[in-house]
Amino acid sequence: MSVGFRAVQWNRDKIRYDTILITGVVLYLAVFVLIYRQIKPPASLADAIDIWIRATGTCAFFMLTIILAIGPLARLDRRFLPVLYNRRHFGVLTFFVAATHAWLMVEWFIELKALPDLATELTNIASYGKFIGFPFKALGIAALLVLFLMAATSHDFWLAFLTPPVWKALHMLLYAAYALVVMHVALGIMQYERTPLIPLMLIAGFGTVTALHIVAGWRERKRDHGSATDDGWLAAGSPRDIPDKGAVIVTAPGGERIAVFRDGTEIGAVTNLCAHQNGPLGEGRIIDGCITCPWHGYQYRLSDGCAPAPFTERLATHKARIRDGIVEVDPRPLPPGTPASITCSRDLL
Amino acid sequence: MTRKHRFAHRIVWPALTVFVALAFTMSLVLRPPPDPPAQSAETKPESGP
Repeated sequence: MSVGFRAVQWNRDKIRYDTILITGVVLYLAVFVLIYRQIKPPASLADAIDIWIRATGTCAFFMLTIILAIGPLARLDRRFLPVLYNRRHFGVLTFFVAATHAWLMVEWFIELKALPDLATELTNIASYGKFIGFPFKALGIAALLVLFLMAATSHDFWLAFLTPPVWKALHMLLYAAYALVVMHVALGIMQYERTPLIPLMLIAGFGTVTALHIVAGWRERKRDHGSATDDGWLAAGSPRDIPDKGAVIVTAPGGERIAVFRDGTEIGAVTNLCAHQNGPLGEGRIIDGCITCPWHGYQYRLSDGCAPAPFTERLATHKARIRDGIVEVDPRPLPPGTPASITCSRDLL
Repeated sequence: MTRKHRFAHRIVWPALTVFVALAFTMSLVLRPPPDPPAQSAETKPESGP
């Protein structure tokens, strides 16, 4: 393997993020169990386990809902970017909560000495042909397997080994897992418990996530139709249209995006894809003289797209020019790390 | 995100929404009527939690 393993790079922000996350999960479970025990005191150990099954199940559902909402929320409103920063740890914790839910379900069957019933339920092929009566636990198990795959490949080692586009495509399986979870609940507990809270929870959760994704996708669609000048270069506007220490994003005719940054009088164009996780660099800022990705803070020099030492990531750069007071960019990328920034006259600012 | 990922997002979410909305509505409409109260106090659901 050509990719080296590096342990998780902890910093104060990650520790704070994880502390809030774990505290939130513990508080949710404690409050859920305490309230449920007040409303419906358990008469047996199986009943007590059942409460924990419900607590961990709803907790995992809400966590998954939040995780899937973070991406589009961050695209729609920059204030959500800090939540995106350590989303992978959120995902790993969700897997552990969901795995606890599954393990407690097995414990419930063991307590009732009915473990063979669980095996019969899962292996009854005829029931897989039904809609009502479908073995809903199989849907939960399938979702758990996807969550396991996500958690197991969440480390940066796998991100580098698989490459960001493949890793990202793999992690899009989470959408299917969410649909499986919704149907796991709809064909499971919703069939024999009449409380309106369960359908409401599913409608609110799934409705919110899908609405956010569709709205964010629709907004971005407008940006995806690039138009070129007569010689194929892309107009990015006048230098003063590019915010200082910020960028405008132009779209190449093929649909890939280019971020055109300005740092004072220096203008440079780089691919909009961060080398780390393909984050939208053009939505970032120039901090300490470097383009900084809004997702995880990876940095690159504006002049040549190279990460400052000791880091080794490099971005594809694009030739830029100023013609008739308008910044134009060549849509054909230069090899990663090629110096390509230009200096504009102060009169144009 | 790459262009392909953005395209996939725009296809996947509407398709997933339609599929889940249909399946969820069916599961809500077709669910069996609740057990009579006396019976439900004595029996546990067959399929477990």
